[in-house]
Amino acid sequence: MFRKRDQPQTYHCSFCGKSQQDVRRMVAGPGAVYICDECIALCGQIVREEESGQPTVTARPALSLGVYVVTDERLASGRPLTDIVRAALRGGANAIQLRAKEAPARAQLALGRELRALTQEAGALFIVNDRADLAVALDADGVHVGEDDLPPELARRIVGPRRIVGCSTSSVESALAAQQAGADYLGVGSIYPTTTKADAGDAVGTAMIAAIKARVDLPIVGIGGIHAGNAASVIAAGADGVAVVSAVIAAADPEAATRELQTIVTSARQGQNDG
Amino acid sequence: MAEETGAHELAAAPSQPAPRLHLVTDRRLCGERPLVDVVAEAARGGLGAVQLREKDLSGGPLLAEALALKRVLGATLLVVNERADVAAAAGAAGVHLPGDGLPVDVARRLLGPDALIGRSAHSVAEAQAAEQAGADYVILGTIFATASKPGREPAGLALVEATAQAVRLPVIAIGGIDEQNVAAVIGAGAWGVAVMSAILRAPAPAVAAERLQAIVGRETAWR
Repeated sequence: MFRKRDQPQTYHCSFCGKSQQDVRRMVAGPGAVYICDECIALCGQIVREEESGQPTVTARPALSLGVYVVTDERLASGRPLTDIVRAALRGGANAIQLRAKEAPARAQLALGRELRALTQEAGALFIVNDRADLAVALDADGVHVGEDDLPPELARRIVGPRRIVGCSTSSVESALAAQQAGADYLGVGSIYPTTTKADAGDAVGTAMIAAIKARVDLPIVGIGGIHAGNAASVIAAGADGVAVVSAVIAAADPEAATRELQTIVTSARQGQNDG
Repeated sequence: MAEETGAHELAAAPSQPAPRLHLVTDRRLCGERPLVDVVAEAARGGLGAVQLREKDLSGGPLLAEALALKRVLGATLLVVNERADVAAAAGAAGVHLPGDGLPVDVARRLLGPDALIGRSAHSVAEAQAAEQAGADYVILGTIFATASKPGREPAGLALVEATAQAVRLPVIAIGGIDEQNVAAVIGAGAWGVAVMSAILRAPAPAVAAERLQAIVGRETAWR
């Protein structure tokens, strides 16, 4: 970008997609194949750890999405979101998604830094909604893109190979497309009618989870109108987890609300495995 | 993944001087005409850079608009407002950061050392902070009263003079700039100007851009 005139051609790493401007070294292989110094270092690390008999590092953090809490300042009734997230993590939340679409980048960064620290401490995943640039800036575990956001393959190029890319989907076709584009998990919804997201569309029901599960080999979280009363059916339909907004963020006791969801999801998954 | 932060320690100086005539988009000012048509005409008339600034668009539609503009821009540089990720995805020349947007170093890390990174400033102090942070230029406003930012007290040419003396990075003035006052803005020390209405609302955007470009070129020729 804004490149000098004597560098007309940009080479991209065949592994992570970064251009030669984004890395220190780019090594060319046969044909149009390239690898950057960062991917060489990662490969070296994997080989060394295998040789030393230690557990192999996987490229991305393990996906444990059981109870996935999405933030929404408007549902917090004036309470600081950091307090609610801290409580949700105590209650056993597996993943926290920063969603603050209306907030300027600076404000999202400020909140995001606190959520990053809290999730790190709790060993939970931290995902940034929509903005791949903020996901990198915050060193988040991943980015979640909706159907109106950056396409997943381009989000991947920005966040790199080691971060998670999650995709919202409400149909089998878009789920297949997301898998093709390199998504790591799918947020399927809206499962039930919801008022949290004005553009969520009609509810697709738990049948959509089963339909997608049958065709796509990715972890699935159901989203949209999920609470303690219906979470078990979402898991029973084949989801690996439930994503909730108001069920935790608007709860009088977010810790207890998360714990209850975690118990339901865990036992429903047990039932899934037994069945 | 902290090692990524050190990847651009050897940042080179920008390989080209900052553009002098910027068009900042607002598709609502284009009336019935598609933004891409108006921008294409203006680029033919002569523009240094187009800043895609459509704050209500989410990432997908914004990327589509960026790619559409890129196809018609020719030698004119494309800069995306606020979103470094969309700028990177579109292969834009750079990103323009509002005062409450991403820090410059974060954008630089995402876009690389050669990206053009601008920052909005409304005072000498903000322009100095942008320079310290490593921005390639500042867009300084609001200079004259404008319909694009109603209710904002115009700062006048005194702000341009004071800022141009206080910083070394290029100062691009914005706010109510048109054919009549652009020479005075450059005379006050601005490196260049950014316009919205003067081109987007013009009956002939190519002519409007060509005239502004000619005046800016004439007034900066002696520097």
